Amino acid sequence: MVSLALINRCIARDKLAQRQLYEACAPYVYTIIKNYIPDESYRKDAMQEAFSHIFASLENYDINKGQFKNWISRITANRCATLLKRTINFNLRLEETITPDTAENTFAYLDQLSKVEIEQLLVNMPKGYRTIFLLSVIEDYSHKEIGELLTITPETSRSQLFRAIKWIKKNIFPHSKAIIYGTL
Amino acid sequence: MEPFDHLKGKLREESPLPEGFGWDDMQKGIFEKMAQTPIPINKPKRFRSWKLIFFLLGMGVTLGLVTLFQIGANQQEVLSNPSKKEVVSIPSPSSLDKITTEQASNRTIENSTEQAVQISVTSLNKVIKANIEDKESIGGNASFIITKKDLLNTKNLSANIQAGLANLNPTKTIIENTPRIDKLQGSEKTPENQEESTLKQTIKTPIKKHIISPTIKEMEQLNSVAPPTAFNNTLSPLKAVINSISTEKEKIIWALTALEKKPFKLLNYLRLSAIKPLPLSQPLAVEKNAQSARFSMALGAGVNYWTPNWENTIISQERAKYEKAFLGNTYAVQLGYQLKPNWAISTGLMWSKNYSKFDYNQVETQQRTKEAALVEIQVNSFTGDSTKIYGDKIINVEQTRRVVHYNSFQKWAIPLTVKYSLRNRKMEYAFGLGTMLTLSTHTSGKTVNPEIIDYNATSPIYKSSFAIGAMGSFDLNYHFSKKYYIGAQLAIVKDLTNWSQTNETVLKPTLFHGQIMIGRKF
Repeated sequence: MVSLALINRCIARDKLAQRQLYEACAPYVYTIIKNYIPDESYRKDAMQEAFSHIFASLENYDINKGQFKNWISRITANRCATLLKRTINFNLRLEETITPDTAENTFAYLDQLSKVEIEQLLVNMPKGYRTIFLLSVIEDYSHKEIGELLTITPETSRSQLFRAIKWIKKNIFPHSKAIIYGTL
Repeated sequence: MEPFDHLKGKLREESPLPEGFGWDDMQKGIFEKMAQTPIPINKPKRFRSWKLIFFLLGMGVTLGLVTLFQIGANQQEVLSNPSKKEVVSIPSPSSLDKITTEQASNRTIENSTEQAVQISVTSLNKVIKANIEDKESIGGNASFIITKKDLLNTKNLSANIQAGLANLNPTKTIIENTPRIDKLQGSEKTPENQEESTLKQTIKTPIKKHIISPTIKEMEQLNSVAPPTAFNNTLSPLKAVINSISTEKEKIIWALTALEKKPFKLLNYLRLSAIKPLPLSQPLAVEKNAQSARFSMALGAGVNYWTPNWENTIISQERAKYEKAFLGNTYAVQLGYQLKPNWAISTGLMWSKNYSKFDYNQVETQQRTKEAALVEIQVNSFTGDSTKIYGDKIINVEQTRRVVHYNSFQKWAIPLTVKYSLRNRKMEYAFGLGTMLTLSTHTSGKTVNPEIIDYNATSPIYKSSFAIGAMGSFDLNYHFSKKYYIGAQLAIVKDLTNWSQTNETVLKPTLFHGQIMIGRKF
């Protein structure tokens, strides 16, 4: 996707190289931002924020530590979380009750959801749950890292993730009851 | 998370860029933000310097204390510990004569060595027995051997010696016997009034510096600085006795025998008390026995128990409700160093595993839909026919959830205590106070936070760094031989560091250790 030569040229502030890198990575970065920030009006700002950090941090990229894609993914998630953290109420605790039936079928059903349906599910999810769910499950951040990033305790992160999964279990079925229960 | 792998794949599928997100539209904003963005530098992993400083400081203090006490103990040993009277120096014939008569000293210098004879007063009989077996001389390189037989035959010494010994009571009888002593001695007289007063002063002299082995040269210096006065006059009866003994061997035998007799004991004490401390040319040899063994090492095994002491937060209360301490096991290697007869420091290494029982029990009510349930029976009152109506019915279901799990906390610890011990024959009681440096290496289990969560090495909720605690201990040891002992130890440790990673849950437990130990002294 992105060659080392291109990265080196970007470090040297070559405008053409920066453009090439942006065009190569922008769709991927945008996909990540879209998951974190449902409001389209904020996405442009988040995109600029993410790329400004990517360009500024290119010197620190170590090819031996992982793929470039994963590296920019972490930077993007990091920037999104930083932008969101002031607006998230991490003490939010919704009343959720789940039935054993739904719990058993949740993961099986998740596999059947399309990308659009998953994105719709994430949009509806409370902001705090979503951010921590994405950071933990999709970006593989540890609770300690999440805690440092969002200035919360690892235990809060853990409990928010637990609640997020519970929320998914509860809210996943209304989208397609017919698939699971037929004519229920 | 395995169940979400599919989700992860789908969310990573790239979406096309919407309008307005092209490079031309974005570059201005990106470069503006870049100008405001400080260039992040890959910081090297934060070096926990305070931990190293703390460790080095601890090591330094420990080494310093050990060195300090070692030096102190050596000095104490050299300058004679009043409680260590078992090894004192008896003057060689030469030094004895120096105090008594010039003539005697001139004679005995030829046969004596510069090294003073050392003998244990309290274990005199043992020394004599040893001499019988070993046939060794006790007068340095003197040319005669004293055996038990010789000592038993002291009754056969001349009647003058016996009479002289019988009359050697410096507090009462010297003045009375003065005429007879004068007769024996000739020229020397003891001033009557001066005798008692000087003696009293001498008794008041602080008891110090028992273990002194002055060389002949040093004794001469001592005599030149402090010439014999009335004190030497108190010894005047000895002159007669010593002069009446013909051989050197008999003199030594007489001295050993006389030491056991009451008046001479007092004289010997006075003489030693009156001598100023002198620098020793070489340290005295201390009998190596179990009493002088300074190092000890013990191995122990036992059980432990802990009280979590959850502090008053909501999550802590929840945890305290469901999590109870349980018996664990402890193994330890303990190293001790005796600083003084009653004081010792102790350190070592302890491995312990603490357990707690997590017993979660909660009843939840859930609503479930029951299909095709009998919801109504309609009865026709005229015909008596009944009609059953089936349908879906929402029913409340009570569900009890119980989770039982044994949580474990594995710890390595370095105790450092100062102990005060009391010895009663073979039993030893020791009370210790100090600190315990604990390193938590592995914790795993389940707890509430506020829902049930798992914790382990990969997702810990407790610290794995060093923690410090205050420690108190009580040891009860039985010394079944000079070197070996068995004992029991009870220790209480109050952790001063929070085990939890966050301040939401503060856990500073109190730990109790009970161990059976077997040890050896070196």
